[in-house]
Amino acid sequence: MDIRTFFSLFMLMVFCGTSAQESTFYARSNRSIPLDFSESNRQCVSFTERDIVYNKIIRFEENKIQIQQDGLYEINAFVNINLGSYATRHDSLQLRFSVIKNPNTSSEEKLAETTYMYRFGNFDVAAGFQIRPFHVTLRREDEICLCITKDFGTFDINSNDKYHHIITPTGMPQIMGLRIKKED
Amino acid sequence: MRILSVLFFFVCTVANAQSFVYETSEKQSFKLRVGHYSEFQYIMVNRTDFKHNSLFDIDENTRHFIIPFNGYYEIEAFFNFNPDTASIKENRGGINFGLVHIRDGKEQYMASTRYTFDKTNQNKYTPVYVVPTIVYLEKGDIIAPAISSGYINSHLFYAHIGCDKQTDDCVSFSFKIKLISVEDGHSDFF
Repeated sequence: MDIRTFFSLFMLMVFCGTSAQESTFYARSNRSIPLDFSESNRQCVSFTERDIVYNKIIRFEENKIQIQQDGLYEINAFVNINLGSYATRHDSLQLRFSVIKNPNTSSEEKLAETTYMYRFGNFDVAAGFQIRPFHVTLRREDEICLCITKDFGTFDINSNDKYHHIITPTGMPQIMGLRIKKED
Repeated sequence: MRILSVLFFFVCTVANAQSFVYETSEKQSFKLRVGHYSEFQYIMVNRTDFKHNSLFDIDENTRHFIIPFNGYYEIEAFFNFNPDTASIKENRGGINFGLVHIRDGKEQYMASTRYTFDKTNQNKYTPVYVVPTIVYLEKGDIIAPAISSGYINSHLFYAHIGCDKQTDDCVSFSFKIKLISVEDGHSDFF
C-alpha cells in the first residue's frame, strides 16, 4: 500500500468519525437557582460554561445560547421547581415554563411553553415542567433562553433569598436541561 | 490495507446510529412507600418487546443492559402511569421516573422526570416523559429504567404503569438509547 492510499483511507476514517457526531447541544444545570417574582412576573434563567454537556452547534458566550447557522432545529427542555411555600386549602399558584427566542428584543418570540398549577398539598413539593421535542426554524445569531413566568397566584412563593426554587426534587439529582438539535 | 479497511468499517459502524428501542403495553405494579425515595423499583423488560437493537450485546443469559463503548448517548423514556390512590381522599405527592446509571454498585438517575399528582389526577393514567437527554457513558456501565417514591405523604400500594382497557395499541412504557458520538468525555448526571 502506498502512502497516498494510506492517507486517503485515513482521511475517510476521520471524516466518517467526525460526521457521525450529531449536530446537537445539551446543557443541564448542576446548581440550584432562586426565583423572585417581586419585581417582574418573569424570570429567565441561564446556563454557565460548566453546565455544557455536549456542544457541536451553539455559540456559547457570556452565558448566552446563540444559533450559528440558519436552519431547522429540534428543541426540548425541562425544569423542576419547588415553591417552598405553605398556604391554605383555597390557595393556588400557576407557573409557566417557556422556551423564548431573542428575549427582551423586538423579535422576541415564545417557541413553546407548559404550565403547572400548584394546589393545596403541593406548595412544597417539586413539580417537573417538561417541554417535549418540537421543531422550529431559526436564523444565525438567534438567542434561545428558558424563562419562568408567574401567571397568577393567591400567595407569595417563599421570599427567603437563601431558598432555591429550581432545585433537585427529593430522590433525583436533575435540576434543569436544554437540548437543541440541528436537523439535517 | 485489509486492517485499514476493517478499521474504517469499525469506526463507521460504531459511530453511526447504534441504538436500542424498547416498547411494551404490559402492566407493572409498584409499591411506593413514604421515605423510601432512594430505593429504585426497576422496570421488568421482556425480550419480545425489543423493537430494535444494534447497540447491546444480548443473548439468552443477559440480565443487564451493558454499555458497549465509551461515548455520548442520547436517552429518553415514556411511562403511562396511574398512582391509583382512589381509596385516599385528596392525595398528593411527587414521584420520580427515569433511567438509572449503575457503576461499581452505585445507582443514580442519569435522566429523570418529576411527576406530581394531586386530587385532580390521583386515579387516572397520565403520560410521563423523560425528554431526550445527553449523557456520557463508559464501557461496562449498566443502565436500567426505574421508578422511585420521591416525596409522597402516604404509601401507594397500587401504583402502576399500564393502559386503559378501552385503548388499543397503547404503550405503557418505552425507552430509547442511541450512541451519538464516540469521543472522550466524562460522566456527570446532575
